[in-house]
Amino acid sequence: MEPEELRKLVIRKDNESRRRLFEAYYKKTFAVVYNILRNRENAEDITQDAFIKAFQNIHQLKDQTKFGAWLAVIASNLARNFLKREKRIDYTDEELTPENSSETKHTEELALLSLEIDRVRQAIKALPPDHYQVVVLQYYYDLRVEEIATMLKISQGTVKSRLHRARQRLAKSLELDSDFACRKDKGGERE
Amino acid sequence: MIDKQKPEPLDDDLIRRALIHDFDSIEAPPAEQSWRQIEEKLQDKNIISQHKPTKWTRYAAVAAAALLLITLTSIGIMQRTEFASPMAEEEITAESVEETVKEEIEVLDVEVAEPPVTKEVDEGADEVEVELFMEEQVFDELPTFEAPIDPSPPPWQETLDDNLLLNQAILLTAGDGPDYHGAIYYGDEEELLWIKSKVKDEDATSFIENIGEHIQAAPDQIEEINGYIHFEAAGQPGLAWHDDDHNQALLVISGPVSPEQLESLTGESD
Repeated sequence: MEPEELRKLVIRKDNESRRRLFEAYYKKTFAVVYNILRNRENAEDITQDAFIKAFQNIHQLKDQTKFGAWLAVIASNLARNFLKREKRIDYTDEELTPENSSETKHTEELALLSLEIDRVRQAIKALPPDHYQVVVLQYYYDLRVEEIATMLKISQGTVKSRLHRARQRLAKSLELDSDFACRKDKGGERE
Repeated sequence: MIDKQKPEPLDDDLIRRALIHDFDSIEAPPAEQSWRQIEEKLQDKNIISQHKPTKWTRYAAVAAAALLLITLTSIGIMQRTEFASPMAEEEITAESVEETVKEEIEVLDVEVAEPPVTKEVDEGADEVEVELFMEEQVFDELPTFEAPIDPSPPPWQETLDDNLLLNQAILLTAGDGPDYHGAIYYGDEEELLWIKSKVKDEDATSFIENIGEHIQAAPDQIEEINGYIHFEAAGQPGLAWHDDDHNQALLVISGPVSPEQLESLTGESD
């Protein structure tokens, strides 16, 4: 969605605009929550709650073009809080390996994708929730460190550290030299 | 069949492409059904929030009460001055006016009082802002404080308990007190600060007070247990002890770490 179109939809606040925002961000928001919770039913509930909270507090969003990232923060925080309440940070409940994930139904599509991307994807899914959160915000929503820090209400140092550690974990999972993990941007920082 | 290839170096683009692929390929529950449920919940919340008094309603009630007070006081004065009689004095006094006004205000307060609080009402406009903030703060955290990189740090342990990694060595320089060496350690959810005093045989009380200045959170709940001085700063546990003629402290910046776990970590300094 083009930034200007997105900005208009966020400002309008009517039902049709909300619906279009929902359609544009439902799948990716569900994906973020699902990758944290590893449970489809809970992920669906939390995703719905995230949209409701976002629509009710949309006036708090300063930069309307960042709606997706802002929604992802709300959703991932709800998911993390859910885990905290449930005290159920068990990454083995539903293994998200290509062999048993629902996405493997599209084996033909997967076959066309490079193995590297799929391996990185699985490694990203295995990250702890707080690391996964900052990785999504930086690499998918293209936020800068200070924007992530503001959205998560944490220090920039904490963001950098989490990004750095996330990249180290990814490198370890992918059996890469950890130097690769810091090759482009020390601590994940982007100027 | 795809041959197993050597992975590309982990660069930004690979991570980005992996996320895009993941979000595109995930099978989400039917959007139509989810949207209907969201619409219903939003409507329910709107109905409840319509019954909730707005801020201006409150102000209007207070203004009405003030007007009533002025009116009744004026009537009281008029009756006392123009129709001064023993009966009038008995019926309308300053106290009785106040009493009446109090009753009126109580009635108005009841009218504007919030309906019984339910979870959904809690999620009305003003409350949600607070709630949202609370949810974003997954764990309590110390206020953000700034500290420069320590140019000559002591030999900090690289890891604590195999889980917490040394992130950076800092110099705590705030306030009039002495500078302290600091080390920030990160775990999956935890962030800890280890502090070592540069001052030999520094008084423990001063040490803890100075820490409060450095981290901009005054320590409280100070208590000596098991040879450690336990305290809390911004609701997070910390402890201080004397070792090798110098005071040291270990405190939680964020994350779920108990005082007992902190105690067990201090052994790592050996």
